[in-house]
Amino acid sequence: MNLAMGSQTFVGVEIPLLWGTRAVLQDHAGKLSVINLAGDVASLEVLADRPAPDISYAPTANDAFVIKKGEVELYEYNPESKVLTSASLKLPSVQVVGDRIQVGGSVFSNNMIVGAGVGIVVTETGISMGAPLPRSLAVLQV
Amino acid sequence: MKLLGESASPEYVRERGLPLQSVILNSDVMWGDYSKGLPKRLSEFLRTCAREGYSVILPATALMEISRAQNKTVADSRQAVAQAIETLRTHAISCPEVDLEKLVKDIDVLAMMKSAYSNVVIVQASLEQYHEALRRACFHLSPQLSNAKSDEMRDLVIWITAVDLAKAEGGALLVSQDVVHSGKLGDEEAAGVGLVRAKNLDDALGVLGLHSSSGGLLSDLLAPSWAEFKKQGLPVEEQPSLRTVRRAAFVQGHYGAPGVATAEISLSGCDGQEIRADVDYRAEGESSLATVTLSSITCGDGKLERLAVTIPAPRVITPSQEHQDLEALRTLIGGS
Repeated sequence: MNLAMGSQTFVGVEIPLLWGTRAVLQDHAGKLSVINLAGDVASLEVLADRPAPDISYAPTANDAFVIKKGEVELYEYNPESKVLTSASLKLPSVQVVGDRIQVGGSVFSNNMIVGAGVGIVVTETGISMGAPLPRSLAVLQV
Repeated sequence: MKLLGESASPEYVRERGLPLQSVILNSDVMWGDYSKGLPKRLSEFLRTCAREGYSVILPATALMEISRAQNKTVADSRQAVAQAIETLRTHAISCPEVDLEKLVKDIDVLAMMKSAYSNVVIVQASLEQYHEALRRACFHLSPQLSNAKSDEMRDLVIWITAVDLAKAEGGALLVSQDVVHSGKLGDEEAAGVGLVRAKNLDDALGVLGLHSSSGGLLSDLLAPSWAEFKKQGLPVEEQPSLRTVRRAAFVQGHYGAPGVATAEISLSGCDGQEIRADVDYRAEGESSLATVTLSSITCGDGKLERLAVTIPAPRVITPSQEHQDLEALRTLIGGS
């Protein structure tokens, strides 16, 4: 796919931003969607800044919400600040806004990533750019 | 002492002379990004407790766990900067000296909490409590699962601390997602000392009878139902306020609104008596209707049969907007 997100330009990438096992995409209106690629089938969790249909969640303050699996809180998404905050995923927080993608304390701004499997990969142990697509993930589709 | 169980409301606790003044937090409900200060949800929870006169107890074990996580975050950030500098210098790109400790400051969670909220108290487990936790860990005694792969020592220290605090104060609230703290194996012991349990900060607010985000959303969903329930004999006003909301769970439906919502609720009846019930809200597919069912209804000393009504289901976005959002995402993934 080709898209511009958080001032980054992704050309010919499969997944622009991979947060753990979750693909994060931003539409033209700036709304984020999150798709979990763990397992055999992709699972849409956040659709255009709202919990996706059939997803367990809990509202939190200021229109944010926590995505849950059963009673386990996985992560919080704040549609106003466009921040994903891990609850039990053990990942640094991610923010996607007009002029940057911020991962924990690292800021990515005005980069171009071409032809990589994944544009920006965020794991428990670090961040990388232009990485190959991890093999264990489901196909990105909704 | 009469057994309380998990469903004790603050009013029930207070009427029987049980204060429930302390809220104990486990580290697993304190998650968030501390690099810019306390996470907003935690900060608001502490502020609400302070305003309502509740002490927030942080077991030293929980504080150490959360501090360890923050120390790792700081160490990782400093290492990233150091590696970046080394990479630049390897390529003969000059780079000024950087004081890593000044650039990436230590995160002191306790200092953040105590500087803003005077109701936060750290409790250190006693030697006797450590011994009791060790005994239960070694023999895999409850509330630890008998087939647990690890001995869950930290969780047991927190459990013993919470039980003893509840015993001393006549009641307390433990907020923890951990199965050792929230599972059924601890039910009897918790009930015996007035230890009420909640699995997250929002549920804790509901237990304390305070406004929570889940409570607010549930109130909005149920608002059209009370007049119908009143017709079926439930002794409520037409627009009652929920007093407590516990174990609220939501599953998103269509058009930006919940499709399923369940919770344990209490509210005031017409005569001032407390009504308690389990509520189940279900939107009917993509239709504009939802069914609300109340079960296990108690009203003062009485009980009521299961009641069910059909009400309008809210829509936050239009069907066409939902369809457009999904199609836009599919285009983004599949197109250019």
